[in-house]
Amino acid sequence: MTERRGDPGPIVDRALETLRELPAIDSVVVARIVAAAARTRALDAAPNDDDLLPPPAQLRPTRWRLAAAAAAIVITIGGMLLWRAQRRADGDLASSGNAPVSTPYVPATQARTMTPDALPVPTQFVFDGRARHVVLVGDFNNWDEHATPLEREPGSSLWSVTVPIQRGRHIYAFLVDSVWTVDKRAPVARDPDFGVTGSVILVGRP
Amino acid sequence: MTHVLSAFPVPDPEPARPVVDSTLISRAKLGDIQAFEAIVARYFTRCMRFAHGMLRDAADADDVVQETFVRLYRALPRYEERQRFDSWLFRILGNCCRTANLLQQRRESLDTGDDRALLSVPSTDRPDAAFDQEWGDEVRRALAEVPEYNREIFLLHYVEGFSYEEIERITGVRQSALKMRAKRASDYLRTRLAGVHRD
Repeated sequence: MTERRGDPGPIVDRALETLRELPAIDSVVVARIVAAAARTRALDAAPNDDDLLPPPAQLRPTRWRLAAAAAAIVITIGGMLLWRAQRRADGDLASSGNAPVSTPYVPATQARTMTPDALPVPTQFVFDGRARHVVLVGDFNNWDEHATPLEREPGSSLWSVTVPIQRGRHIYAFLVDSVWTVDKRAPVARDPDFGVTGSVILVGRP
Repeated sequence: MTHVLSAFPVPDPEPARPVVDSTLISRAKLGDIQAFEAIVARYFTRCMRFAHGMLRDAADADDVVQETFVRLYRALPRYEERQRFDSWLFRILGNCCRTANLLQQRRESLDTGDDRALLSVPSTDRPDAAFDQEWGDEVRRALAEVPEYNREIFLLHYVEGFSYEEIERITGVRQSALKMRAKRASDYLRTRLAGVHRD
């Protein structure tokens, strides 16, 4: 990476020696960064592209924010597990290939304490195309390539899956035979900094 | 004062090692936090160095670097490996630094008459271990006086070792303008440090 240019001269050359000195690695700060990142992706359900992060001064978590985050995770995971259990009980899991979208199932104990907007909404994702396996990844499943495989409808090229998702704006994509693929039926998201596309779904809006 | 054209080595940011292992990135893209931690550890010091050079308040460096890596982690699933990883990282970092400077500038404007405005310059006489050498103090003081848009290009090119072609991809600014900005920063530092430098 050597280029010809105007030589900055000995003074700037010496200044550069100073500026190129690397600071020591701070393992405490590294650990804090990793913890913050893990926490943020788990809670990632940004309503729009402009609020990717709070300003730097707000990055250090406060106690109430952590408590709210923990409560949101518990409610979401609990809702998903109970919803799956209900589907199994109804005997329709993976057999129809065309999962119905229905009123969210929530146990009465939770329903008394949750507002309707806080309930996860079963949402169907469909991919049409030839593939060996198709997986749904999105901010709602922590971009986990194992969490949400789609099932192919026998005798067709339609793949689908239905998952409960919190209301709001979400970004997702399909991994079609491990290749990142946007949903042709959905609007394309473009986060301001990164320029790599995913698809957008608005859950719980008419 | 004119300077002859000569070969001036720009440091290769990764002289011996690959930029980052693609397997590591793939694992981090899928949410593997240990892979992400390895990436953070790999780039942390370079990010801190750049942030210290860019920020109006060097005390913000920790937070800005944290914000950068958090944004990186959230965006990793959408990272396309045809991009150079460190270019992508420094693009995010540059954005975060500029945002932090803007916020700091607003704080300073609200704190008129307050000592904070003076303390915010990353070149103070505070007994800070990072700034305890006179020459280092002067260099950082001089660098802080360089306009941000010139300083960023100067640091990316001369300190972080990015080619102008890469910086064009990072910033979206044409190479001719980039070279002019780096030269202006370099010229300012030369003049500013001339009275301090001792051979």
